[in-house]
Amino acid sequence: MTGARRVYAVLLTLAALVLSAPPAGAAPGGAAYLRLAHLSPDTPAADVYVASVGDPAQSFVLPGVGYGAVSPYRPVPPGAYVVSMRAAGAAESSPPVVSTTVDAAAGNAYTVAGTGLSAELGLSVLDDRLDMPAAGRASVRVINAAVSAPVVDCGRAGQEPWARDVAFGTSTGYADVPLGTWDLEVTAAGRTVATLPVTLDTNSVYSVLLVDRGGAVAAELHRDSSGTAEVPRGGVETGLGGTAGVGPPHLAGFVAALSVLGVLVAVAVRADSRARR
Amino acid sequence: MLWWPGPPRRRRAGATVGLAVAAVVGLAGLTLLLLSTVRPPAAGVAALGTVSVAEVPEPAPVAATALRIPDLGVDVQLGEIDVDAAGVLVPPADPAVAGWFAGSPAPGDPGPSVIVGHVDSRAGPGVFFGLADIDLGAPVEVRRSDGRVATFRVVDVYDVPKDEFPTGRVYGPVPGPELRLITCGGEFDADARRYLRNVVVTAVPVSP
Repeated sequence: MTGARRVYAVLLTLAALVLSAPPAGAAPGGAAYLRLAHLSPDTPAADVYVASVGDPAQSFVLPGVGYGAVSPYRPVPPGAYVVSMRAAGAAESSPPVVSTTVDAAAGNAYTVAGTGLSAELGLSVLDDRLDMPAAGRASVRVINAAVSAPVVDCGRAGQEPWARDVAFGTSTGYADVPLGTWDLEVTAAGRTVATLPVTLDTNSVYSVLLVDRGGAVAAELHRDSSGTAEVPRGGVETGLGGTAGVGPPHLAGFVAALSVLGVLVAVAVRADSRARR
Repeated sequence: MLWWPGPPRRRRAGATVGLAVAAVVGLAGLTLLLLSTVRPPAAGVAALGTVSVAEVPEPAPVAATALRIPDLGVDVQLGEIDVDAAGVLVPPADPAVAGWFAGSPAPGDPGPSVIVGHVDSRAGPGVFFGLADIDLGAPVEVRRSDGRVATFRVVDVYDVPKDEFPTGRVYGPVPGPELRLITCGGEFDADARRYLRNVVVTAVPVSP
């Protein structure tokens, strides 16, 4: 490779870098969210360890998580996390009962749940929705952690259910259901096993959790996520141009990048003409 | 969104007097609101707050009252802003002041709390000048009308064309308390006298 070619190669690489740099809005940044849930009816309380693969400082432990507990969400840096369950009080060095890995992406939320009966305990990673529900609707899913009702339907009392055949140890996808206050009805084989008055707000996402409580099924409503009560249309007009002459600093960066390119072009042309001589 | 004192739960001897006082103060608040899209918090809020505490047992909704961003030298009172008839968010009239969107949760409550400020006026820098270059991890403090201070750290800064504003990403559901700081950026269209992009900063509570 001649000197001139090498300069051209560097130049092309630099140009490619400048041109391919994605606009700041392209890749969602920000935090990822994790929460833990104990959904195994016959498994005793557990200590849940969350270990960050990339940054040990981000690791944490939730001690003594009992059946039916759903932790608050925790914002974490995006990355891989190993989630392990140990019997409550067991040494951190002891082998976990179960463990799994979560790839937590920015702008996403995950529920890591111990599911199934103790004999076949597993850790499931649920993707939690953060999309805006349709206008006038709320997003709701059903998580069946009640072994006393191994297969259920779920819906508004007196109407066709919107979640059908939800098996123990599984979660449905999200359904957009009407806002307001109404009775949620859980049925198994046509028989009502639980009723829960719910109030669903706009721009919000919920999980209906079914758990065994004293031999019966209890339905609980968890508000997983919420947005603004009112959703403005479009962007915001927040500038009158008084500093546009000097340019916002990121524009200055672009200009600087262009000047560097200019200098390199000049160098390349000189090297080229020298090579031809 | 007004901070109306809610209706009294129980009728008491002083209820009529209380209602009259509330009506007068309510009218004063309405006048203030009509005078400006951003109400100076000092006058309106203090007056309404006193009456609600004295006469009405309902707690007033919590609002954001002040904003501090040490890295940018921002330390300002917050007014309230709202959408216009077309549903578009109206920024504070004063470029030196930031406004909290009254249709969003109070900072520190679950969901995206939205604060808007100008990058500049016609004359020079506005309250959110330099926001596009704030460092990840930078602290942001918001004082609330209940006296609490919610402390956040910046986790994301991005800019988008206004005609492709990411409504869901800014106003959509999130699992915990988050903060959105919004201003203008990008190219300035001198003919239309408007910037073509919005800069959005996302912040989450400092680690528990």
